[in-house]
Amino acid sequence: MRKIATMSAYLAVTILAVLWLLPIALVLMNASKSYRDYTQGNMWAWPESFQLFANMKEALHMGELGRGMLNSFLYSSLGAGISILLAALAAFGIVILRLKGGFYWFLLIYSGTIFPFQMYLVPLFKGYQKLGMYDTFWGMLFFYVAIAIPFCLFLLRNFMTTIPYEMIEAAQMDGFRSFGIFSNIVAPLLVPPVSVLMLFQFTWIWNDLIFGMTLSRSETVRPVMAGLSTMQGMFFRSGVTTLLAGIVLTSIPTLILFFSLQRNFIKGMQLSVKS
Amino acid sequence: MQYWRKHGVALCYTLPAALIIAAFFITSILYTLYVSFTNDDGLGTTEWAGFENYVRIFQDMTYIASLKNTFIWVVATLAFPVGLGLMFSVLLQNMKGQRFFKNVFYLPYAMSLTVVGVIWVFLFSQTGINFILSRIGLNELAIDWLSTPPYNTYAMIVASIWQGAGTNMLLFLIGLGALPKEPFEAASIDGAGRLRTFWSITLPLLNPITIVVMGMALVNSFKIFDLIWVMTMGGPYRSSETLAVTMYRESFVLFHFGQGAAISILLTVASIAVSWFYLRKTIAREA
Repeated sequence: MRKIATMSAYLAVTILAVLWLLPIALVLMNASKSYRDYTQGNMWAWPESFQLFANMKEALHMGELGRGMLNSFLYSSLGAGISILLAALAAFGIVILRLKGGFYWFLLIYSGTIFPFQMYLVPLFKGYQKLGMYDTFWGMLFFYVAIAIPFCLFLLRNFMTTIPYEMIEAAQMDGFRSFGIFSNIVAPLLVPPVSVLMLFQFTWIWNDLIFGMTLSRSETVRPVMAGLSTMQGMFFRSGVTTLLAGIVLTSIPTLILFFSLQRNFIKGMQLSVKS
Repeated sequence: MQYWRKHGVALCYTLPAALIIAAFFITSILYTLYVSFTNDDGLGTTEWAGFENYVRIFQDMTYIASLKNTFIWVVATLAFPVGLGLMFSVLLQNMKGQRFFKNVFYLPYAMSLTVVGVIWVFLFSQTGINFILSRIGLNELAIDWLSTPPYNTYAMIVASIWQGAGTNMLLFLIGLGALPKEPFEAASIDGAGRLRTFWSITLPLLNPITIVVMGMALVNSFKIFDLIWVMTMGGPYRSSETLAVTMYRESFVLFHFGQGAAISILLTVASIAVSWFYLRKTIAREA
């Protein structure tokens, strides 16, 4: 009886796993075909040619994904890094230096995550145009820094409250000024939450579509997902294989991050669920 | 002034982040709130419109269709990705090879919604799922999924289930791992079957996690945008729009900024009402 139950559980899971992998298998199969191969057969046919890298190359050049990927790489790494630093400083002021009314400062900053993004689109679009930040690299980067701060503050503040206050007092006795305490005592302790945040924010910025679409237009500024969505409109009829190769290419960075640092992701989830 | 003297140093650390948030988001919120009461249509003459934009959301057929679609998304997201996530986690709990299967179900979540959208446009095209359907003799079912309402919405929900079930599974697995052992031992001594144990012990104990998962799914489903924009752009004839897509189209395609702002406010009210449910606890604990 027990054996039958286990067997049927395996059967169910296997069937579901096949269903879940099928779309990815189809994408990989067809991203590898030459366009002729694709149009002559159908998407379920095994590829007769292996053109994956040629298709990727075409996606990078013709589809202009190369520049988008470079832009997004810079936005994601710099944006995540700067926002974590700013949030860590803010959390330090609130928790360690015991800023009076700190909870209200926290709420002010954290309120950035409560509202749906639709609230920000039009004002930012108009404001960016007025200030000459629309469709500029720095404008995009600045926005990504801003949008990432609230969640970083949330996690870092929670983490800092677990630091024993005696450590801070001891450092004060040793003559450390506030910035010395931050850089010598607190910052080294922040490695676990910071690595989680780096991962989360890098992925979030890399995957962003709506703000990229709204705040940029030209190829030299546009992040990768906005580029991909434009490319979809142009390539779906005449170059599916190139488009699919583009999908594979743009997913590689986040896939690598996810599966190499999987433990951190699960830890991050535990952290955010608990709080 | 005294506040400054006493807490000036601490403020120096907190202020940069606070100023950025105020400049980017707090002002945006206030501006959107103001615009939602005007008839700003991008032409320069902006007049006070009172609640006109809000009333129109519940009168105009286009917006009513969008409200209806949003409702379908919310209900479907609560039922399927959450339900499937729970099912996966219960099936996988204590299973050999859990790691492999976990990765398989989680894999789509490691991709962006834009990418997921493109993948499913491809699968729902004529040579995809329809090819199989007509091969096995279900020709009538082989419709043009993404351009036939209401099936276009259902088709996109399938894509979102494929993407989202994995995260819920992970959260449920975390929850299941943290459950106390004793009730299960007691149940097995009493000779309770698997289903009975699941209904009377696992589910009630899992409640706190279930609430978090459902709350997150709910809030996210209100705001669904990327997937729809990539797969149908809300079409054909605005038949598959949800509130987030309607807001974008009103603002950036039709330049009805006032109308777009009113829809944003409605979205805000809806998602805050839901978040309040668990934000309340956090704020009460801290303040």
